[in-house]
Amino acid sequence: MGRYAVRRILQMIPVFFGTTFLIYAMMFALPGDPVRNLTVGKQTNPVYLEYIREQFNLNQPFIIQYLDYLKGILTLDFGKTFNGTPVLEIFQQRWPVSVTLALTAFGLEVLFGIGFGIWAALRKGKVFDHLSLSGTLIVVAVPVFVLGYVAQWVFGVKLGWVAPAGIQDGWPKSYIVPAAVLASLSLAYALRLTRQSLLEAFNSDYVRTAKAKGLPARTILRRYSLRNSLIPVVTFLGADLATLMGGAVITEGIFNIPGIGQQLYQSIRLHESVVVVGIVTVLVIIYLFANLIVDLLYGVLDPRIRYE
Amino acid sequence: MSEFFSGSTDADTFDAGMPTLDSTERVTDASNPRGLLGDAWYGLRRTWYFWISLVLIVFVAAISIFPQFFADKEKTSSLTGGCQLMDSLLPPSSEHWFGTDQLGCDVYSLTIYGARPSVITAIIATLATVLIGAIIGIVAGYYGGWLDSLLSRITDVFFGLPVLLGGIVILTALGAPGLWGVIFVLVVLGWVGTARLVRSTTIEAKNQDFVLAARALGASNLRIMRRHILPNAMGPAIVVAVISLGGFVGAEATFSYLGLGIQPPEFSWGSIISDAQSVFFTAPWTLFFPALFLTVTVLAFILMGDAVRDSLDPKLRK
Repeated sequence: MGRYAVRRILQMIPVFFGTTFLIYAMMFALPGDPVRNLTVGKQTNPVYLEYIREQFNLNQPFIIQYLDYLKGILTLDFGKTFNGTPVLEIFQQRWPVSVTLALTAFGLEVLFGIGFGIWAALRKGKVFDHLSLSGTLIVVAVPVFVLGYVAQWVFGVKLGWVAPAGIQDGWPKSYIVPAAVLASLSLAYALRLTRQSLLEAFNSDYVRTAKAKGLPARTILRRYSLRNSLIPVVTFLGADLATLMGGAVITEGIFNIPGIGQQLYQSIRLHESVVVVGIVTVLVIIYLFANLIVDLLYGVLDPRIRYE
Repeated sequence: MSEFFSGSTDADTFDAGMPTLDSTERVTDASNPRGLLGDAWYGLRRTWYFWISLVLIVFVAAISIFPQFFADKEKTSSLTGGCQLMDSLLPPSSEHWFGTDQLGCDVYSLTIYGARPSVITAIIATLATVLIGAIIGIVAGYYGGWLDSLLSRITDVFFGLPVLLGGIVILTALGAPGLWGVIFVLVVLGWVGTARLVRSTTIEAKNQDFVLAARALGASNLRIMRRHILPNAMGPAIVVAVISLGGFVGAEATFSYLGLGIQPPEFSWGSIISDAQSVFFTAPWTLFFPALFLTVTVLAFILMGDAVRDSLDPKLRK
């Protein structure tokens, strides 16, 4: 397993460079001169523009800029925005909000996704099973921005249980509805996955043997069926946590939550490539490591899986 | 099947031997192979949600191809005088079935005419992703070695980019060029899934006996890939294609909602919903009806994908 982990980490290196290079190149290709964009409509001393270009390395060829940027990242220096705020400072303000939102969503996903999934599997063919299956199907089909507005309208306006937007009420009051919206899609997948793999386990030989031995149904569920059928669910959830962290662009926009997703969208609009590349780089790192951990988790959860 | 074999004495005796064969009985006799598509059709006909999704998809196709039969294009634009500001935000009525929006445009007409851009985007993007993904997947899986390593690493790079994130960056970089931009983004970021899937089915198939037999008989690589590997990889690829049709309809709506997709004066479901967000609290119908059409379309493709998967995968068939 140690050798497998090392090999996987080595394989991550080209992926990391490829992805950051791609994003950096795309931001570089954004139309317009970023320095000119700052001084729209004003008469500016060309010497001053030259000074800014020099300061932000904009006179160097693209590849040099990229390598310079990577060098900075290794020392946790993500650069500065044009108005002088270090990107790291923006991270410190924004990440905690997004992480709180993501973890709340993740909690809902684990609780209701797995819980309802088990319940649906135990009641296969009954009312709850059908309800959960059709419910999840609809959730998968409704685009997240529609779901966001409906939730905002129902809970924020009609029922008035929570403020429709913002995080002034703190956790959990301000986070619960956006987290539910953010979690909805993955929750639906987790529910279906739990139900399906649990049903497969119910039909397996080892569960039949356990039944034949006369073990109580509760013990069979806990010690035999659940343990095996949760492996795919756990790995799905692991990979999903990384997606939740960065996938909140729309949810954070609708509920006006000052997290990383909202910052990302604003920065792209303002052509602040330093911030965009910084955020995406961190997201890619999180994503890569989440996938690595998930792959390693397979072996821990299921001893039958051996790494070459 | 009897007309297929008519004239052949073999078939006559076959038919005579099975006089009570009715349509509900499974035909498993090797002398009458249905083939992949025939088999799938046999299973599909028996799935109730196949028929529901088919009806919905036919309806969406109809309003995309012939919107003029269902609604009036005039009522979707202020420029032609079809929208009157005095009609602003009227609730649903017999004249305006889905109400009117802020500019006084008929939401029903907007919704009908908003279907085409989403559907066109989804169809083109799906065809392109499946084609590119299948070619890269088969080449990587079949040849293996350094070519596979290279293609797999490239796949990983694109896989590490979330579609929404990458799409926002690319579309902003291109200056939000409209529908073609969205299609470009969906293809560039979307081929990865198909490629991975086809690669794994190819690796599975290439060591099977029938491939070894074909190679022993002197078949060329190209022929083996086309005649033996491709049919095996086709089933899962079709399923992914149908489901991604729904996903791409939703993706187009999302980008248009963010203002990075379709540009005014053209409109699609996503941009109608985006325009409705400011008046949604007072006039929910402006958002509800386009959102309903969008959701039902996505749902129809997902159901169709489920039905196709169940009928193509013999392991799931009872």
